[in-house]
Amino acid sequence: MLTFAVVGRSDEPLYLAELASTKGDEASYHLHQFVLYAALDAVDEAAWRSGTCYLKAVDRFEDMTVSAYVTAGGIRMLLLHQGRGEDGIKSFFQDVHEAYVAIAMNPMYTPTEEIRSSEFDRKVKNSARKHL
Amino acid sequence: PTTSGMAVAMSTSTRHVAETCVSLLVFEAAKHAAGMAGEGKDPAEAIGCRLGTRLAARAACGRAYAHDALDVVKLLCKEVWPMAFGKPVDNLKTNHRGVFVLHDAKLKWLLRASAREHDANVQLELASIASLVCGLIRGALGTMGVRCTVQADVSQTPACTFTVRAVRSKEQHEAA
Repeated sequence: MLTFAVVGRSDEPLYLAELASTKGDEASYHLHQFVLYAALDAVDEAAWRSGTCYLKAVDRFEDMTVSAYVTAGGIRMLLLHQGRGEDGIKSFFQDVHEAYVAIAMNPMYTPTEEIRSSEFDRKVKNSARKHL
Repeated sequence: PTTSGMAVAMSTSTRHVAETCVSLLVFEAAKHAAGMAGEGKDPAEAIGCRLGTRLAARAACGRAYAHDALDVVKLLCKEVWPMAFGKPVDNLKTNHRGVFVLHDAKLKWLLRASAREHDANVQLELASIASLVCGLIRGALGTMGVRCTVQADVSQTPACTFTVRAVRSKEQHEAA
């Protein structure tokens, strides 16, 4: 189980993807989203205490763990998983950050807009396959 | 379209653009904005702001979250400034209470704009370029979490001084 979300500075949802095929259950999909957003407070707290981008595991719910990554621009990236390796997750976040910067460079894109680029989607999924 | 041209021209990846093109683009943008100014809004500042946001997003890639306003300003001076002007800021002063003064002895964009010219049009364009840079600073710092106001002093071109007054939001957040 692997759900990935990108959240903007004012907590607006920018991107959400289920990276591993689950049972395809509608309820569990909503639960994953809920756990991710509920972890945002923990992410903010960890970001204030830590000086690095990669925050590792910030929250836990039952058997699921939420790992986070914050950019200097205040964008939060969250990954819901069940015990994947730290190094893999860190590499994944770094790849996605670079893909995000490419999106941000687009003058037609505003920082509060949903990310609809298929290129970004492809890069996220490729990186997930490679590192996770 | 103007900002996209500038952002691409300043990219550090394999694409290269002649510096003259960037200079000309800056001038045209400033001139265009000067023409549109006087409606109560400052279009040059707005263009600069959007540019600054993007340069900062690029500079902040892979970098740790900076808590302190001073760290953010230093990042602007050492990383964002070279992206736009080819060299870091010459001098940075602060009163440690949210006011920062950036001084650059030779700003690339001001090399061909003189403050000593008495032509009103030239003065207007110079003010427009100054607004562009103010916007750039404001946008870049804003993206990294420091809201501020910026004022420029371009009376000694090509030297220039920018006074940044940060709104003390970060300290307030920490206290909360």
